[in-house]
Amino acid sequence: MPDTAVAVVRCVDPPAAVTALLAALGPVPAGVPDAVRAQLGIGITMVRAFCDGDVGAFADRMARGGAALGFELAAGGPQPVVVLRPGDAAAARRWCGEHASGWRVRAHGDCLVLTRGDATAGAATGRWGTESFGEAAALQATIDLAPLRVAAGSQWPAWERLDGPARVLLAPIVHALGSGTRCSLALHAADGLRLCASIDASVRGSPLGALLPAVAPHAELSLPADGVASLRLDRSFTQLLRTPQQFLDPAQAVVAQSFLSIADGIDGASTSFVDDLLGGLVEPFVLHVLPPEPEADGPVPLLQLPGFALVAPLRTAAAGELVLQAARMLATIANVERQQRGRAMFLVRPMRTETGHGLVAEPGPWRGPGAVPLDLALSPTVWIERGYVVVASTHAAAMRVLQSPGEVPQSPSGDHLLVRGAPLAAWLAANRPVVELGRMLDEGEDRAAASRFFDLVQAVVAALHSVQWSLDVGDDVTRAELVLERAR
Amino acid sequence: MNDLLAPWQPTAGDPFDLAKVGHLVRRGGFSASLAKRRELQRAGPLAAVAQLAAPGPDGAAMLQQLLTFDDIQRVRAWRVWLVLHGEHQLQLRLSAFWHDHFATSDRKLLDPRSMALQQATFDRLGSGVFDELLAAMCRDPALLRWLDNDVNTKANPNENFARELFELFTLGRGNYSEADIRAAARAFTGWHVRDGRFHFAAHLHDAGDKELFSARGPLTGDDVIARTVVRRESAEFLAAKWLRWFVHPEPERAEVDALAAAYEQGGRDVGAAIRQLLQSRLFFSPRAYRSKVKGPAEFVLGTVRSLGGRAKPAQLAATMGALGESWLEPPSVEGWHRERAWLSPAAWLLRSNFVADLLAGRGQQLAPAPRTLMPDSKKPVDLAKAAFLLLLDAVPARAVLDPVAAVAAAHGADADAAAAAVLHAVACLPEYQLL
Repeated sequence: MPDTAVAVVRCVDPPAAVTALLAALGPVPAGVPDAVRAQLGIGITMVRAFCDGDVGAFADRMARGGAALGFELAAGGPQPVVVLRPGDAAAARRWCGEHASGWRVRAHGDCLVLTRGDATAGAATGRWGTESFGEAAALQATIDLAPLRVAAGSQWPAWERLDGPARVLLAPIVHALGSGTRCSLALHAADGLRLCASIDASVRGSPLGALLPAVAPHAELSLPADGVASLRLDRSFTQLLRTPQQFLDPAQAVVAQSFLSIADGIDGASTSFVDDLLGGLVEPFVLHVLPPEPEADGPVPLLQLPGFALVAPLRTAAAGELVLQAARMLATIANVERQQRGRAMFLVRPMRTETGHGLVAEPGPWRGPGAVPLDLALSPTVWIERGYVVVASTHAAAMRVLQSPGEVPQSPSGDHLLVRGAPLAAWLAANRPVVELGRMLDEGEDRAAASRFFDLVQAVVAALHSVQWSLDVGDDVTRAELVLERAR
Repeated sequence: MNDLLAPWQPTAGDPFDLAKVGHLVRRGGFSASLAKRRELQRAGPLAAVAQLAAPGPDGAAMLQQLLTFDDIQRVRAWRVWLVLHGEHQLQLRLSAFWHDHFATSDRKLLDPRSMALQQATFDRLGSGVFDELLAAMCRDPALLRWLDNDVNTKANPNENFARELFELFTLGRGNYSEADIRAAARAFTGWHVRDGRFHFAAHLHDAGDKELFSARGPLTGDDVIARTVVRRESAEFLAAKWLRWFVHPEPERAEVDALAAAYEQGGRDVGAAIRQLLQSRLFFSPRAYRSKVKGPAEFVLGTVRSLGGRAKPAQLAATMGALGESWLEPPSVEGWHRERAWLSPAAWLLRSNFVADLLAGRGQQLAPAPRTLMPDSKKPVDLAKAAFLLLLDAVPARAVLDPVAAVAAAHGADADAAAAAVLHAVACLPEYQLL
């Protein structure tokens, strides 16, 4: 591999990697529509034809001793370089002669080197021969970030150019990509597919690092067994709202400051929404998504919304009461707005049990014409119990989350997203007509096309046990991990 | 049958060509793809009108799903989606007409569900007998709230609804008296809205005698409707408006009289009158062809339909709004000011930018891509001819064609860019701004 390659993907044992990857991917999901299945079948057949039959045997012939794919930067775009250590050199050469038109193929020791264009003429062993690729995996890659940044110029993602929530959500990754020198990737194929990425830079220590909350080990309420999804976003909303102009674009900062000018008056002039309310909660917060409750008596919306519950441990008891006060104020504003629109107001009432207390806003009975609107299925709730405050879209969702056992996660910091396939697929199946209509109106598709789209989505989601994404920001390294696990 | 409204018959010298078909689909719908226009041409004028006037599918299930969202952007996207996908183009055209006629705005109501239900009423009754449509609209929650009839009571009569009923919906200015308005307002007292439905509040209704159009009695709202729709002035008022909408912005007296008579003789069946109009010599006369200015909906949705493409309804609706026609938010009770009011230097630039963005896939994402719309055209001049056929009705003379072909030639071998450029050039021509 030439020293000038800026990105290299390496596979130490291609035959084993092919076997492991195919096992991890599993068969085509059962519910995939026939049209898509046919296209996949054509694709698989073409791959097999390309590989002269069995893919594993092909990998053995072409690269039993390993393979690497590198990219050099050239004026005409990235130029690929392929280095193979064949199991059957004659067969590999023959295959290259038949299929690798446009490539220059030459031997280098026991390897074959395939190049395109002049820029790769000087292929040689060098720094990539001794470069560390990190943890062992089916596929590994190392990328030099600095030359890519120079080549990409203004196309490279920059935090200053991000809009909206992306400024907060993507700050750690964009900062690492913008300041790091090396990104390492590893794709593991045992127990599902696991893609790990590591960048040798961290947002900590930079001005944006203030967005990361100072975390002490604390218990979190776990996602119930039938939960759909869970998200822990490791950002400090306290810091964000304390100096919004530092983290948001000017227009959003004004919106945030306008909100604070009202919110700061919740409990009189001496109360600060940021310091007293948010400061009284332990960050990061966790959002749980639960399947819809079983249908109640009476009319229900055609689209059953999942339950959403935001959970935060309380640092002080006073913060809990402030949250309730804020909820009362917001409920009043929302009710005035509903009344202006001719909508029935929510009945807001305090509730108390032996173990907790809170505020629940319940909709009145539906008397209007036509299908029940979505908001009639909501019963927004703020509940305080077991040292947590739960802000939920329904009272039932709040109670269900509070029934979960508290757990101390291995890493109480870092972003973590978990989506479970089966409950999401069940939700999609139960709400198809309205979900399809949403896509028709968004994309302009007809009903048949929207239905085909969700047939595929539903089949893929049902075939997944779970998808997990995590991002951990260390002192000088940023690590991300994506795990896809098939349903068994 | 009046000569003006006699069916137009194609002849060897005046055939039912693509220009005539284009005229029909632009006025009786929101344009159509070239393939559809050719299909209608083969069918002939009578069958073509019958196809446009075919009733729409039962949209009840879709409406209920839409109501679930309770979102005005979705309601607007729904109307655009129907226009893009619906085969029942005349029904949708009439619904757009009635939306302009009974102009109700969500800016005041903030009630997407009522707005959606009103649109559904237009779809259901807009092509039927006017008496039924008017009766439904006088019970329409959105319209009643829009014109303040939900506060019209015996103790405090509110004349707003009654005034617009006569001035804008049925008779036109000068065909009723202030006393008629006061009587009608009293007749509609208690016609209120409760829980999103029409509600007759008997205890707030003025059941006393009223005098309307020189007749006296304890008139109700239904009596007002019945006595209004039969008046000749109502037929003339509606006929003049239909002629301005479908035929020519400045209809002549004889044309109004002819259509009003046909409407009355047909039992005030709107659909029958409009079908007769669309088949008539008057409709296919040179005076009508390209005599109107395209509004934003006609321009935006007509462009997508003419290209036989697909685009994102919400974004198209937003473009229409930027051009001055935000459906469900008419500027006033009079609806939109049309014709020349649509055109301004800024509007022209916006129209040009919309087409450029649509063809370049910037935000609008037209599918299929422009090049695939003209697969058989390789040379610049052939691309230009194909673009004229797609967007206008015929290939023009070389003096017009060649400059457009030069636009294609400027893009060399880049077929996608050349196709997009010629389509954009044609869409920016003055003729393309005309309906």
